[in-house]
Amino acid sequence: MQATMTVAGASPGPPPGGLPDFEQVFLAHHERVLRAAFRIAGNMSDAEDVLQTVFLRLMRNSNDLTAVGDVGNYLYRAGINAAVDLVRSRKHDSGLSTDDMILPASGDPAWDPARLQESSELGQWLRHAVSQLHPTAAEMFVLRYFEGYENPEIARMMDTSEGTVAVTLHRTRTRLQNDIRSAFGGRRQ
Amino acid sequence: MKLSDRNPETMLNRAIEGVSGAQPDPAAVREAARRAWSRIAEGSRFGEQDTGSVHGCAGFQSLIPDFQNRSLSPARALLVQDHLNECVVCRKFAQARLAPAAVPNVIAMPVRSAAPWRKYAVAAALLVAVGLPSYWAWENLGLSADGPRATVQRLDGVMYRVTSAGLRPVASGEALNEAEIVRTGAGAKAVLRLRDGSTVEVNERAEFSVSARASDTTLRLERGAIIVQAAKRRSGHLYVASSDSRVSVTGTIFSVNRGVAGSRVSVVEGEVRVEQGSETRVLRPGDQTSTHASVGASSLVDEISWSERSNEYLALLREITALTQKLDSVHMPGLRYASRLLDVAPSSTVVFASIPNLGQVLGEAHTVFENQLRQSPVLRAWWQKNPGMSAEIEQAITKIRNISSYLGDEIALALPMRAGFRDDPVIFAEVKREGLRQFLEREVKIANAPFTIWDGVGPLNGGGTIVLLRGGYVAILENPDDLREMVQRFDSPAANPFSATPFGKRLRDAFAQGAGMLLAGDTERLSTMSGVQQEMQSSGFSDARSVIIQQKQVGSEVQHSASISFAGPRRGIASWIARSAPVGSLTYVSPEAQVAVSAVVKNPAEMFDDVLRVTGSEFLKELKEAETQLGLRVRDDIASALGGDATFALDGALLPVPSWKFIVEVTNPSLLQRSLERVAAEMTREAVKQGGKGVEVVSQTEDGQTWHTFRSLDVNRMPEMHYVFHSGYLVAGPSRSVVQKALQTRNSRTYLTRSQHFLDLLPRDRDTNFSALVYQNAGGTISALMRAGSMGNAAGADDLAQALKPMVITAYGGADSLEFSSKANTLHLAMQMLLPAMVHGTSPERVAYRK
Repeated sequence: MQATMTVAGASPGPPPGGLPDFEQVFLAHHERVLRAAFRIAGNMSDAEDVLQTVFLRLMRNSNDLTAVGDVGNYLYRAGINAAVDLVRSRKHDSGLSTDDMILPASGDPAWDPARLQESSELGQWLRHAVSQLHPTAAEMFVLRYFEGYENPEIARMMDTSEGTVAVTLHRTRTRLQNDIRSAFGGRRQ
Repeated sequence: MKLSDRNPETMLNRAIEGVSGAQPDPAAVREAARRAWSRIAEGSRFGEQDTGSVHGCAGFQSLIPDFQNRSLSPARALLVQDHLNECVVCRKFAQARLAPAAVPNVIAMPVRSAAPWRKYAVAAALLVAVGLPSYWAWENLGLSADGPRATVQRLDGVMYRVTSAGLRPVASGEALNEAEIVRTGAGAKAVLRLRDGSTVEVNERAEFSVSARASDTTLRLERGAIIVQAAKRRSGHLYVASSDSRVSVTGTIFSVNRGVAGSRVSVVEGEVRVEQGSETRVLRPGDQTSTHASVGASSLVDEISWSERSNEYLALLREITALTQKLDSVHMPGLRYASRLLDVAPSSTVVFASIPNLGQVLGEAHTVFENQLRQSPVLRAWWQKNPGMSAEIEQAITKIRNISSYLGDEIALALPMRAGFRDDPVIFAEVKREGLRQFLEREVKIANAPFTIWDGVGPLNGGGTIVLLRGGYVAILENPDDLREMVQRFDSPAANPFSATPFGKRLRDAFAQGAGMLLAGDTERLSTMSGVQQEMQSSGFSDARSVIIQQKQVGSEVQHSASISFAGPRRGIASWIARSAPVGSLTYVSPEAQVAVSAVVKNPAEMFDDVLRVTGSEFLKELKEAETQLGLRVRDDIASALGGDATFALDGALLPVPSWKFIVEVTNPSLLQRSLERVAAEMTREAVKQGGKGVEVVSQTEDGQTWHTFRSLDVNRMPEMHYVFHSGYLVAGPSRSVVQKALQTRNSRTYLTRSQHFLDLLPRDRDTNFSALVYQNAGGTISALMRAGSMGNAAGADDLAQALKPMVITAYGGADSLEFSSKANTLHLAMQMLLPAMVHGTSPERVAYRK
C-alpha cells in the first residue's frame, strides 16, 4: 500500500474551523459512533480506538467540515466500517468484555446466565463472520440487524435502492445460516 | 445450547440478539469518549509544532521503531497509529518487530528470584501443607464467622452504603458487614481496619465491599484507589479482587488503582501475587503491573501520593529495596553429586527422601537482615511494629540455624520395611562438629520434650522419640527395634548392604546427576506389599523397579522431574510411549488451546496386541464377533492404517459445543476411510433394525481438499464429526470451522509449540523433542464459564483459575525407563500421593508397639 501523508502542522492540520468547532462535532456525534463500534467490536477498548480513528481521519482529510455533507452520517458509517475492519484484522478472538456492559441484575426477569453465555458466544462468532463478508454486505447487515434500521433508511444512508438492500440482506442471512450450521454443528434446513 | 435450538435461523437470531443487545455502560462510554478526545486534542495541539511529510509505507515503517519506543511526538504517534489501523502491510511490519517481546510490562523491573530465606519458608510451608491435609480441608471448606468485616477508623469527607433503597451515609466508627457495597464521595478519604488487623486507606470516588470465607478475607474493588497495609497472618490470605484481576498477600503494603481501562497494582513492601485469568505475576517492592496495555506506567510516588502516609511508605520502599538486593547475593546450596547418607540408610529402605541443609543459607540471610536492621531506623521501626511476631520469627530462625550448624549438608528420611510391612520413618544426618549432644540436651530440657538422647552404649533409659548420636551421625527414630541396625550402620557404613541393592544403586546414579530435593520409592517391594503385582503383570508396569522424583534449581529455574526405572526393556502398555521425536500432530493446535495431550507411540497394531493381552478371553470373543459382522479386522484395517503420533486438544470455544480436535498420523488414508465407511454402514444396518436411520459419511471436495462428515441421520442421536486427511494426518473436530482452524494453524505455522508462552513453560532439559506432552491452560476459560454460569460464585471461579495454572509436563521414553519433567510443582503432588502409602502400610506389630 502506498500512502503519502503530511504531518499535522503543515497541511492539512486541524480543520480551518479550529479545534473548538471540531469539538462541537465530537460532542454531537461521538456517542453514536462509540456505541455502534462497541456492538461490532465487542469491547470498549477497541470501540475507543475506532472512535479516535474516525475523528482523526475526519480531521486529517477535511479542510472544511461543511464539505463532508452530513457529518453525523459520515462518522457513523465510517465508525461501522472501521470497527468491521478492526474485527477482521484481529489474529484471534480477543473475547467479549462484559466489564463495560450493562448486564441484567440477578432479580431481573432477563437474568439467565446460561442464555446470556450462549448469546455471548454466538455473538462473538457473528462479529467475526460479519467481518468476513463483503464490506457493503457487512455494512448493510450491521445497519439492519445490529443497529435496527429499516431497509428504506439503509437505502437512503447508503445511496442505493431498497431492492438492492433487501436482496443483499437475504443473501447475507442465508450465507450466515449456512456458516453457523457448519460452525456449531446444527441440523440442516 | 439445547439441541432443540440448533436450527440455523434460531441460532443466527440468537447471535444477533447477543450483539445487538450488548449495551455499554454509560460511565464507560463517557470515560472512553473523554480519553479519545483528550488524545485527539493533544495530537492537534502538538501537531502545530511538527513539520515534514511522511511519504508512503516506507516513510511510516521508518517511524515504527521510534513509535514502538514511544519516542515519537504525540502528533506523529497518532498518525502512525492511524496508518497502522488502515494498512495491513505496515501492521505486519510492526508486529514482526514486536514478535520477540512478550506482553508489554508497565515498568521494566525484572521480577527478582525469591530471597533464600523466603524459599526456605516456602519449603517449610510445603512440608506443613503435606502433613496437615485435614487442616487444609478445614481452611478451605469451613465457613467464616459472623460479625463485621471491617470498621471505619477514620473518615474525612463522605462515605455511603450502596443499597437497593439508595445511598445511606456511613459514619466514622461504623462497622461494615459481609459484602456491603460502600462508596467514598468526591474529595473523601477513609481508613478502614479489617478484622484481621489489616488497614486500608481509601481514596475519593472508590467503591468496594469486604467479604470473608474461612480464614480468607476479600476486598472487592469496583473502582478507585486504595492502599493496603496487610497484617501478618498465620493462616489464610487477604485478597483484593477486581473484575480483571486478583491480588493475594500475607503481610505487605501495596496499592491498587482500579479505573475504567483496567487496574494498576504497585508494591511498597513485601510480596504480592497478581492473578489475571490464568496468569500469575509476582511483584516485589518497587514493582508495578497493570491489567491492560492501555493502562500506562505511573511512578510509584504518584500512585500513592494521595495517601497521608506516602512519605513513610516511600522511605520504607527505599530500605526494603536495598535489603532485597543484599539478600539476593545469598545463594542457595548447590546440587549434591553424592550422598554419604545412602551408606547408613536402613538396608530394607523402600522410601528415601533427601533435602539440603539450609541452615547456612538461613544464617547468611539472617546476618544480612540484622546488619541492615541496625543501619536503618525506618526498617527497624517497620520490623518492630509487630513485636510478638518478629520475636517468634527470630526465635525460630535462631533454633534452625543452631541445630543446622551441627549437621552436614544433607538431611535424609528413610522408610524401612520390616516383616513385609513399612516401619516408622527414620530421619538422619551427618554430624560435622562437636557439641550437638549438649545442645540437644539443653533444648530438650527447656522445651520439656519427650526425647531420649542415646549414644548406643549402655541401656536405653527413657521413652518417647529416640535421638541416636553415634559415629559422626545423628538419627531420630520412634521404634527401638530399629536401633540395633542403625548402630551397626553408623559403626560400619561400608558394610551396609543397601548400597548394593538395585534401589540403592539407582539412588546413587540419581545423585551423580545432581540432586536438590529428592523423593524415591522402591516400587518393586512397595507393589508387593500392596498386592497389585499380579494385576499389573500383563500391562508391563510390574517390571517397574523404582520411582525417583526430584526438585532442583537449574540456573534461575526450579525443575521438577520423575523417572520410572524398569527391570529390563519396557514391554506391554508400559512400552507404548516411544523414544522422543518431533510430534507433527501438535502443529494443528493453536496457542489459544486450553488443553493438549500429545504422544509419539510405538506401532498402533502392536499396541492393539498389547490391549488384547491385558483384556480377558471374553473381550476377545466379542471382538471377533464384531469383526465378523463388520467384515473387517480392527488390527489390519484400522490400527495398521495409523502412524506413530497423535494429539487430542481442546482448542477454541467450549460452548455451545466444545472445540475438540483429534489429530492422528495416518499411513494409509484410503484403507482407513474404507474402514470408517464400513463401520458407518454396519451402524446404519443395526439402527434400521431398531427403527432408526443410522449414520452416514458424507464426502465433499472443495478447493482440492476432501471434507468428510460422519453424522447421525437420527435427530440428536450423535454429535457430528468432521474430518480431513491432510499432510499424512487425520484431522477431526466437531465442526468444519474447528477443522479449518486446525489447518490454518498448521499452514500459517502459528501453532502452539512456536508460541513464546508455551516455550516459557517447557522444562529445561537435554532433549529437543519429547515422547509425550500434557499442556494445560484452561484456568481462565473455566473461570470465565463459571462466572457466566454462576454470577454469585466469583470466589470459587477465582480459586479454580488459581489452581489451574498453565503448565506443561513432558515425558521421555527410554529403553528401560520413563522420565517426566515439568516446571509445575509435581513433587508436591507426588508427595501427597506417597504419604497415604506410608501411613496405611504400617504393620500390625507396629500397632501393638504403639499401644
